[in-house]
Amino acid sequence: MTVAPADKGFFAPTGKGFLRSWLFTHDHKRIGMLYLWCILSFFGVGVVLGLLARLEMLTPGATIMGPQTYNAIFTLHGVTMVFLVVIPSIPAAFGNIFLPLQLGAEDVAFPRLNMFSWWLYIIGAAIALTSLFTGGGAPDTGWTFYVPFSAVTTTNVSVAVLGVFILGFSSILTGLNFIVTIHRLRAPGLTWTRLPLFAWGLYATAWIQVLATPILGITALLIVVERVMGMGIFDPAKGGDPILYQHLFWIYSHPAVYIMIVPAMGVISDIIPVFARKNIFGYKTIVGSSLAIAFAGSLVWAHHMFVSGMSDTAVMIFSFLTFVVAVPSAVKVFNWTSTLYKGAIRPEPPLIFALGFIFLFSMGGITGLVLGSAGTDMHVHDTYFVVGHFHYVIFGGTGFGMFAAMHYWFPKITGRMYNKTIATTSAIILIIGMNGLYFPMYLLGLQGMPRRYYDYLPQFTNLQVASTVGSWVTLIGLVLMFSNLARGWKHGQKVGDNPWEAATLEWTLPSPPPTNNFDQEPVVTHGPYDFKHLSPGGTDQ
Amino acid sequence: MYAQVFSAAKEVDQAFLIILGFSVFIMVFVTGLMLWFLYRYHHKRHPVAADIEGNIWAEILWTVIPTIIVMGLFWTGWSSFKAMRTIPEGAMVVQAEGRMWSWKFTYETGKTSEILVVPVDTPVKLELSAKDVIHSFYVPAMRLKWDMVPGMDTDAWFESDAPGEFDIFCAEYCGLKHSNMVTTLRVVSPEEFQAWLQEGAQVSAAPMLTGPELLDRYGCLDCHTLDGSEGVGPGLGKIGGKEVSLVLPDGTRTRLARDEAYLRRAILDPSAELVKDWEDLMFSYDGEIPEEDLEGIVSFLMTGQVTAEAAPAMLLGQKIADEEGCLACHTTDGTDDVGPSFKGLAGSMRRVDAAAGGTQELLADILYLTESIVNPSALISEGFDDGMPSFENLTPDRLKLLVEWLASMRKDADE
Amino acid sequence: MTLPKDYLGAKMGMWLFLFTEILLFGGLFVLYSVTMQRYPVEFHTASQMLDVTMGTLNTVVLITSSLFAALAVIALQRGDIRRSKIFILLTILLAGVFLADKYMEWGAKIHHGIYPNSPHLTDWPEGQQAFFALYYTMTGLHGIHVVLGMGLLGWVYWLISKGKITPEQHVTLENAGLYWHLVDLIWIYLFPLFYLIT
Ligand code: HEA
Ligand code: HEA
Ligand code: HEC
Ligand code: CUA
Ligand SMILES: [Cu+2]
Repeated sequence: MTVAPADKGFFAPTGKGFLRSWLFTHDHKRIGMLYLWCILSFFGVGVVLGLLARLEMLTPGATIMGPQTYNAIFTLHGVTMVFLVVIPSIPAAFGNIFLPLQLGAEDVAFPRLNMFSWWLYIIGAAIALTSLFTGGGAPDTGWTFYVPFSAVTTTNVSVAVLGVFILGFSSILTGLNFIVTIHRLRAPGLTWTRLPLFAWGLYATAWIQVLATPILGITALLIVVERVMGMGIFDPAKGGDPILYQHLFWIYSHPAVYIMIVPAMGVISDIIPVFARKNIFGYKTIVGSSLAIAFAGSLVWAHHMFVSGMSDTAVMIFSFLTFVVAVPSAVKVFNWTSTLYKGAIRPEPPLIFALGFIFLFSMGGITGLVLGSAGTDMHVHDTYFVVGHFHYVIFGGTGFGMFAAMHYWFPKITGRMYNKTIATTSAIILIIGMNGLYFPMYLLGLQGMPRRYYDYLPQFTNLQVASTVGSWVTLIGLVLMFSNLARGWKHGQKVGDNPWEAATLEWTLPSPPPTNNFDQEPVVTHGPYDFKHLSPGGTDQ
Repeated sequence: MYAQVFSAAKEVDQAFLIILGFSVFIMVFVTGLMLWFLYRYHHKRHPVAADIEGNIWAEILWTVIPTIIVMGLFWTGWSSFKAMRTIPEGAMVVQAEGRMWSWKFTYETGKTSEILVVPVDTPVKLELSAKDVIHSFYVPAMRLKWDMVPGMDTDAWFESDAPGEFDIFCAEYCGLKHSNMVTTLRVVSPEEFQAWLQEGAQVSAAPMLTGPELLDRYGCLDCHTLDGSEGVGPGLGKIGGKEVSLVLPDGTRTRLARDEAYLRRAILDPSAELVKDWEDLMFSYDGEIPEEDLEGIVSFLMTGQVTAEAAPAMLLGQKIADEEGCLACHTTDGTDDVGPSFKGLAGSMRRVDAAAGGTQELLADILYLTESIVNPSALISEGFDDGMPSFENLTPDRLKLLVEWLASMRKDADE
Repeated sequence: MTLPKDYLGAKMGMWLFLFTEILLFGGLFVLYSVTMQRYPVEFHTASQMLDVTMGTLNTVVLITSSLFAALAVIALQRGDIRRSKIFILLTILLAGVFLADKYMEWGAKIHHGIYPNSPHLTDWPEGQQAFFALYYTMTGLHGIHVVLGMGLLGWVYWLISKGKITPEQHVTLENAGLYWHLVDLIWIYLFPLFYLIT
């Protein structure tokens, strides 16, 4: 099958040689695609590690591996998923591709810096993965790298942490780039209140990235210094304080969970109006809640430390703030639901994923209330309840947000359409598998099963088995979904520039978009969800 | 879930139920509404979307009401936390120490134990500490969890309404055997508790005039070892009945099998017969050792370790090893675990990391064993990690017993 | 990096970046203040072991270099490329002086057996150990920033020579200058925290 070069858009050869034109590209769309492929590959690695962990938990005692291996596996699973997949996922992949398009810009503000960020990402990832094969073997500290354990274990923690440090820099630079892009490069007429909510989500996220990630950087450096030079900043025998480490770590890592979720919320806010054929309900409230999450989210970090021995007053304050930060999320959920009210709903696959997001994210978010409440957290902290909570919000939230984005923007990137029936089926299988996988974890946690346990007491067996079976169902859903997308890319039916009849700027371009984006600078005259201006054919007037 | 036996934990459960009730309600409501809209406003049933951009009152409503609700939830959660944290005056104090990967509970009487035994209906205050890395004391049945942080003193409390046995877990990841750091909370009647507390006391009050103890008391072990190695003087382990070459003051040599009489002479008049190749360094113990102790020493030397008399020392050593948590990392059956197995350790040649880099061979004698326990980082055996915490706070008695026990499993112990 | 045509955008990006740098050190300043609260007396004692003269000298050196950096920008804006280049060189020179001074200070301490995890240091009271742990970490990280700043200024010098930075397109020099002021600013906080606490 041959495609005329014009149809290839930004995929068309540039005449610089294939590798060079990709690896050293300044084109935000190509950089976004590079991120997407890398993220998907690491995602594959992370999923395999997760499935191995589940397999091990099938029976008490040794099932398929020894304790050292298990400890390394959940550490790598966590590190890969958090730092290599979920934190960069939506902003770095879809943000890079679509932010300039949604703004009507030629590129991001600093294209070279953008390429540099990608290289930092790859180098950081390579270093993090090197830790597997060198030194004392794969790190076994958990993704939280708590001292003093991380300072005394002989596994290769320093290298892994160095990788995390570099990844942090990549994240900072991407955030910085996006902030300047949004401030400086909006097309004429694209006022702040006409900005698509996806762009708003990225904007809020970018601020968290810029403000919180440096703390991660310094924390990571301190671990290296501690291990390599025996500095003693966190070592009580040398006048240090291990609890301080936890504060520093969570000052970044709590906001990081909002780095994960806020862009996904942006995707959902963009998708729902398109398929309800109706303006978003309460645009300004949604914008406000994104900013509120970004702001209030940076004040709640110590809710991970309720039983760490910090003062009771601190527990009270942080518990209180945690509940406060749940409200903007609740507002979003209500606004999305109301957008459906009196719409003309087209239940296409992106919408199914978006609704799956709302359900699963709510399941996870609401259990966050049990964790945020100090008394109940004392019981479920560091148990499988927490594991259940964050998989629901991350996989059900960010994961489904990512899947929704992939299905929504697929025709724009490829110019083709996947098989919609299979896509919807895979979404439903994933929702079922996901509940099978993680719901039992809530029950396990309530019964007192601690997390990061290689071995467990017999009373936990049934629920562990249920969860493992759920992981297989999830796997089926994943394989089905990805194979459908891969097939669609090659053989899918060609569709026009705007198959969903959406009203944001990226849909005015050909699919795939050309290298230089817009021939003439577009002028924006209406809001992002104003479908009245679309002619029946779907093109903008 | 466990039936609830702790009053403060009942408040926690209540807070949980309130949040759960709210959650179920809101989930059913939101999901139901979503599905209903999906059905009702499907474009086939409702082809033209209404033009709604928002409704400021509705939005204020669903911002303010959830805010009020979550404040309520916060309050129930916080007050149950408060109940868990308010330690009653006069509670019984037990010290709980966590270390890789075992527990040690110390009672006011000085008794130590690896499981936690407490009387029913009595508030118990736990003073938590950690030896090496962070651990967390977790009793799901009491809804109680609190971290044990090195260099920091923390505390927690509970009180059980009913007798029973409950699990204690370590809830903070602490390395290889984090999941093996499991023990038992046993709640018993006050009488049973008193009996249990006494039982421990008897063991430690028992006279410990065992052979090794005696050797230690009179300073023999300053020069001799029991592990087959040579110190300032020849090794004393398992020498009874074995032949020895002697040099008399006039230079003549003889050989004899060591018997009780010989051993007595060797102690009371050491210069009279010298073991071949050794110098006349030992002084006479004549008048220094009461008769019954001398008897004990001689019979211990004659019969070696495995005598009825020596057995309690062994058992004590093993008990201490158990209490101190050595057996979390070391085995006694010859298989290496986190650390080398104790079996065959003493008397073997160990390759250890030399300070200057590279490795060096050392004989695992008493000194070596002692140093390995007190300052483990200084002697890292090849193939093992520097993972052993220092046990420098062991009392000299306990340390001695421990080392002797190790020595009893020396390499040639079975020959 | 090519010059973004957008002057404001470039400035904005730089300010954001400087902000992240401040946060990076901010984490350490928080650590410092918390530890200081725990061991006020030990910090006082340990602080007296530092050489205030050397510290003061370094402060003067760094402030002067910052001044030169600012003069370099002004010179370029006025179109005086030659003078601008001289000022940049002077800035780099003073940065070198700073590092040399720092080297001697650290060297003296290490010579006395005061360095992280040294047998000598581990015998001291915990608070003093903590003080020196922070001292080495914070001044060390600052030192790395000085080296980075020298590299950056050198690169800018090269760009000017190549004619890539011109009086019309001078934002890169301005940004490098801003970075240098940040390095200076951080030192101005470090100096009293370590040398002057009483
Ligand atoms: C995407 C990531 C993500 C997101 C979005 C969240 C969101 C939230 N998280 Fe979560 N969390 C994690 C990822 C995330 N978390 C991770 C990874 C950990 C574990 C780290 C580790 O230890 O390894 C963790 C751990 C964690 C803890 C520590 C638990 C412990 O270790 O003891 C706590 C405690 O307060 C908490 C709370 C919350 C709360 C209150 C929210 C809120 O933001 C949720 C808000 C959402 C809702 C409330 C649902 C939607 C709303 C409705 C359906 C309407 C009705 C609701 C109301 C009226 C309130 N989380
Ligand atoms: C990003 C987050 C993420 C994701 C997606 C997953 C996915 C999975 N996790 Fe993960 N998990 C963590 C983050 C994540 N996990 C973290 C941080 C820990 C704690 C580690 C620690 O304790 O230190 C943990 C711990 C953890 C444990 C607990 C180990 C223990 O405490 O003993 C288990 C046990 O079963 C487990 C299982 C799984 C399984 C079976 C999957 C999957 O295989 C299931 C299938 C997954 C999906 C279907 C994907 C969802 C999609 C996305 C997230 C977006 C993908 C992006 C693109 C497609 C581009 N995980
Ligand atoms: C956390 C695990 C751990 C605990 C608990 C522990 N050890 Fe060890 N032990 C090790 C490791 C690892 C080594 C090997 C490295 C070394 O020599 O320090 C070791 C080495 C030793 C050695 C030296 C053996 C050799 O080959 O060098 C002796 C003797 C010893 N331990 C005795 C004890 C005694 C007695 C106790 C209890 C009081 C104890 N250990 C508790 C982990 C432990
Ligand atoms: Cu101790 Cu986990
Ligand atoms: Cu959090």
